[in-house]
Amino acid sequence: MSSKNNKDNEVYILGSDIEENKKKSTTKLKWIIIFCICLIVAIAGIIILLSDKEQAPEYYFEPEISEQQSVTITTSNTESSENQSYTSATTDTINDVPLNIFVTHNAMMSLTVGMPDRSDSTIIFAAMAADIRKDNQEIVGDFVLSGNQITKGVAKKGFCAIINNTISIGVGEDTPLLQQAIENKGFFFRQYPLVLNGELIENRPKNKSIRRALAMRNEQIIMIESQNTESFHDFTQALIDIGVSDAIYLVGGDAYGWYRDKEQTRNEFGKELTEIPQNISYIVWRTQ
Amino acid sequence: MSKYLVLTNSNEVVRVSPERIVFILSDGNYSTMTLENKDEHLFSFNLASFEKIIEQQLGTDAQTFIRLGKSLIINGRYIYYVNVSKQQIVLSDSSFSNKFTLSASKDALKALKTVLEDSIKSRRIGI
Repeated sequence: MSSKNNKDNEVYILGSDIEENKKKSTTKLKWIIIFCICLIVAIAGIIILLSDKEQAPEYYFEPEISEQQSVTITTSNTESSENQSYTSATTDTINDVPLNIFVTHNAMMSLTVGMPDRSDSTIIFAAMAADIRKDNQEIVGDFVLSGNQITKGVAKKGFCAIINNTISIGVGEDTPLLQQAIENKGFFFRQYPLVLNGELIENRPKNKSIRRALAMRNEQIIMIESQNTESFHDFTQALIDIGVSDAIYLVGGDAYGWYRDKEQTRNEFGKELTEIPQNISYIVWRTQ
Repeated sequence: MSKYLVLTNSNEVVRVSPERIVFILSDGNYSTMTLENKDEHLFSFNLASFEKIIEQQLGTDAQTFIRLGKSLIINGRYIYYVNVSKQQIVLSDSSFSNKFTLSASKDALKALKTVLEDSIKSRRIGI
């Protein structure tokens, strides 16, 4: 059959082009659908791979070779000029981010599991340390309490180790300080890394909340809390702007805690939970 | 539901079932549609436009119709007799009493003969 050019000898069936076009468009549509399915499968695969890597409960495996270098900064929080143990609280506002800054005096930090005793006057500062998984109430990430490793995992790459009265803050999936904390009856927990060598580390949660951090400034360990709800990014930038060189996150939001001021008055922050999870963990600063 | 062809002129509208159309003859810029009862309707558009209208309105059902040379569209269902040497084609069916004898070029009829023979092999056309 010839193409349509309306010659005198031409014979063709009307509507045959419609069928051909239909076939062509059906074939085209088929390929588009196949391409879309492949694309969706590829995207889903990537998402699954990423979420497996970053979110899966990786608590019970041996850490493999880490691409990240563990960088730690070690400090000792001892002061000899004063005898009294207390926490000084000051406020500062950086780039419209008002902050509460807590500095402990004549105290040493350790970890506890379970709610610390509020009547214990030797505790001059207490704040929630590691996160707890909602599904099984387990502590998220490596956690060592007096040399006993309670949980394993590197879901959060920031860490704090307390070994022989020395506090280390760092970032890394694999750090010798974990084993040292176990061997020396020390303490270790993991949280979101915020600042490393003065550089901001981005974190995935994008919501705004009251933020808290365990930070190092001028070779002194301090605790910092945002007065308002802030994003991770803005809070971390404010930490850098007030001179923090290294910091990891502490449980934010309504997480309950307190500090004792120079008059030994107990000042609370956050809200007390009605039902306290068994594995709730705290950093506590005690009188030396 | 069977499709109808709706054809409009400046003053009239013809709504007709495709099986009633026997052939459409070109007369320059005009086209004359002949129905099975010998009714004729003149339209002020050429055969190419008529062809487009049929394809647009009937879609794949337009395959009932065959363009035969420059000046003729026939309903393929009613092809009864083709004589190439006499340049003659007769359109007829038991559903109507009339016989329509038309003339066409030898080449066109030869091509039609080929199309009809091929259709027996491939069963592609709806005639």
